[in-house]
Amino acid sequence: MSEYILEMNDITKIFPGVKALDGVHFNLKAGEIHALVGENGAGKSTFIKTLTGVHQPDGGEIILDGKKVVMSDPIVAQKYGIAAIYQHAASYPDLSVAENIFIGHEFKTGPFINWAKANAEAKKLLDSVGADFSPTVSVGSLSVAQQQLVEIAKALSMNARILIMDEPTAALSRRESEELYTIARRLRKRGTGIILISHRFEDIFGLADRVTVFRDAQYIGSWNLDEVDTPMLVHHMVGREITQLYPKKKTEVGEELLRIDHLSRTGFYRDVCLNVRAGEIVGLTGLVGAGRTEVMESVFGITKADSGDVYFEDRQITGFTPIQCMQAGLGLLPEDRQKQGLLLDWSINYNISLPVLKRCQNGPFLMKDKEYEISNDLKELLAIKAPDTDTHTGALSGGNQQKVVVAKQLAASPKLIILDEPTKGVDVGSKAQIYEIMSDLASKGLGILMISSELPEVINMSDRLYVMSEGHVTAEFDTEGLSQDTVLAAAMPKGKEDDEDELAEANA
Amino acid sequence: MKKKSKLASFFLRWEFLLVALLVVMCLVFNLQDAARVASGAARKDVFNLANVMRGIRPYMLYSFMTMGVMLILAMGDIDISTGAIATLSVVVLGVTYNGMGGGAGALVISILACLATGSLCGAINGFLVTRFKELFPMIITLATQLFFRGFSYLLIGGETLTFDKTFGVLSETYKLVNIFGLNVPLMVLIFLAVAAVFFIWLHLTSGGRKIFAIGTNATTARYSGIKVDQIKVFCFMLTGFMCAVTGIFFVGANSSSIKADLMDGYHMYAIAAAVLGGFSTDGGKGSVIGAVLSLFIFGIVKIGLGTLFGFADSAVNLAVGVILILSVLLPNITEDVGKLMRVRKQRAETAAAKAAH
Repeated sequence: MSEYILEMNDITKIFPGVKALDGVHFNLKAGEIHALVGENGAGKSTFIKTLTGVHQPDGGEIILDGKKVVMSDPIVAQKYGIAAIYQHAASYPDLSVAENIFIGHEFKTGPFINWAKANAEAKKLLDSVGADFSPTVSVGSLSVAQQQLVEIAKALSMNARILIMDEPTAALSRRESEELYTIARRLRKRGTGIILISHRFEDIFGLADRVTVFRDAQYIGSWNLDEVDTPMLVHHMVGREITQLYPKKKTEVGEELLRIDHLSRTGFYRDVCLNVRAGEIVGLTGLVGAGRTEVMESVFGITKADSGDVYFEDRQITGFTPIQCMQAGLGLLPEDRQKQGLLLDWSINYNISLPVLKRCQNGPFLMKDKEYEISNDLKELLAIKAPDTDTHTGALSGGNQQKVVVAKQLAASPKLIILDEPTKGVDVGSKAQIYEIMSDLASKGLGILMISSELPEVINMSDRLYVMSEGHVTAEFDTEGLSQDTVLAAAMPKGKEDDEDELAEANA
Repeated sequence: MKKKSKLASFFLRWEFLLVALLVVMCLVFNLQDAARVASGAARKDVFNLANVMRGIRPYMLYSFMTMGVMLILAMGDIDISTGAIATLSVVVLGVTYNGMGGGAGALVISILACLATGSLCGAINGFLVTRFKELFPMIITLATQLFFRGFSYLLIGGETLTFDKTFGVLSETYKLVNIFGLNVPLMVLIFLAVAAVFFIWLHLTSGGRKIFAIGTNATTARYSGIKVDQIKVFCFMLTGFMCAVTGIFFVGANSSSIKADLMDGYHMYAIAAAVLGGFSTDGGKGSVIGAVLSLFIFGIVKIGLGTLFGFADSAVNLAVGVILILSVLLPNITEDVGKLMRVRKQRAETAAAKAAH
């Protein structure tokens, strides 16, 4: 009997046109947290799907407890005690917590479901993961973090021995992430093997015992966490050296471009004041749900503010429509690049020209040459990795998709761009490139307002930093020598200091 | 060399398939025609260009409406009130005309009233669809369909409106005109001109690009500075206008009499033609040329199966249904087969590489 509960050897998976996995290895011990990392498109998700029975590998073997097994479908994988939780957790948002936990293996009395027992058992499971909500509430009414607890409880209810966590902290605030860490550690103590997929180095270094790196569908290596550091890991993931992750240049700060003056929208944010000047990168951070995105949506005319004003170059632009904002020189890179930023079925060229179709016209007709001229220039400027601008944006990696959205904003020649979570779900190589683009743009005199939840990013890339909590701006910092703890303290909702203490204990 | 985008090459192929279908159909009908003459079942051939041109007219009436429905589908919406709008528009036409006591002046004014009614009905649809985004356009236009139908009955009840001689001018549109020795319905010529305008607008200008952008992802379109709601209301309104136009041609074709259930169910033909033309309720795709070809395909199927095989018009709908289902399935099937072939090829290559290893 080997020391591993799970061994996956030489796994190969082929999709039309691509080899998604090329002979990769992975193994897992009982009671360990094993991180699986790699850039987007490295094959992590496909790999997990071969383990959970969603995909059948075209080669290689899966060995559970020393015995070769075939994961012919997800139900078989479940029976072997393999469970997965995902970034956006909700399985059945309209069903109750207990129903979600026991779906497929309900407690029955004759033909009827024994609800009393289901709710009682669900309560026990919820207690064991430290959840304080009732098993009878509907899952859709819970926060993403709470939904993940439900998924973990569900995994426990099926006696999962192998738990896969796929980007579990991507949609969580810092505090919620810490809580999830605590639960993961508790599960490890019980002997559960955990496979952790994450882009966040904090997750990996804070939680994992070992790490395996995939790159371009291939196995690069496995290390104990104490053998590696961040630069080394990045090097393995990207395959090249990244000398400086945050290439922030000092720039000449010019005239004020954007001024938000006591802007309020009932139920979303109140009395928000901030300003951005030319050549300046201003950060706006806070916990998820602090109202950052909502403020920017009102500034850009997607929603209407109830009171207060917005000025651009001293001209009032309150209540402008998106097209009017763009004409004034304001660009917005929306939070969700796939749902709000891109037309995934369309080519890079068509996406980039969409906001500037007017400039591509000759009389009433669209001129293809003009469109290509604009999009080819921007593809080159931003180093978008694709064969040509006719490539569909849906086929690009997250980082390159984000660059196309940036290109869309730049096509309209803005004076100021608002970037809402520009590096969310983007791998580390592309992150560095996006930071470099930001830095370049600022040095050319563009004003940049960056919304981000990643503290290292906002602190290192911004000149100034605003912090929002519960719908209003709680602090403004000069980022020189600023510590994460100071920012975090300003981001915490009032009256939650107790939680912070608990958090400190959990970390100790 | 620039690669053709997948979207473009798909529709090039799709239109090609439609042309092929049209050609095959004509071939089959011609053979059947010849066989009938040879066997003595018929005295002379009936499936010829002149007869097709004459016979296709009833099936081209909803072509104008189809141009509007096309826009709605391209935006990812649907409008099932088009038949009812057309009916209400001509009811207003008739009531206005007779109310003014007839004559040329009355005709002009009542036509304007008819077009205004269609546009207004469309605007109502557009307003409701953009104002109540949580409701499906299908449900909204189902409601307005019933509303418009009811309104037509409210205006004229069960009676059939008849008109004086001046009104008969409308029938001119149904007549054939001689073009280079071929008799072509005036209506078809007007339609082709209108279709050309729609083609240019939808495929060659930024306005059309924006419509497809809305259908692909309305949220992204909005963030890209496109006035989504304004364009939607405009397209629904234009569809209403095209319905009114359809109505006018319909009255011209049907001996100038108007009833309150004149074009009930017509929306189905318009949607069918647009869908066969490559538009889908998912939005973001379709081509005007495809829709025009589809209108002719449906017309010719009906003529052929009706005159040569003796099927009743309503029975021929069965064939139309089959064509439609196949047209919707075909792209999926070809895609699946293509995928399978590629995977097989790659697997074989990997296996070969391993064996060589």
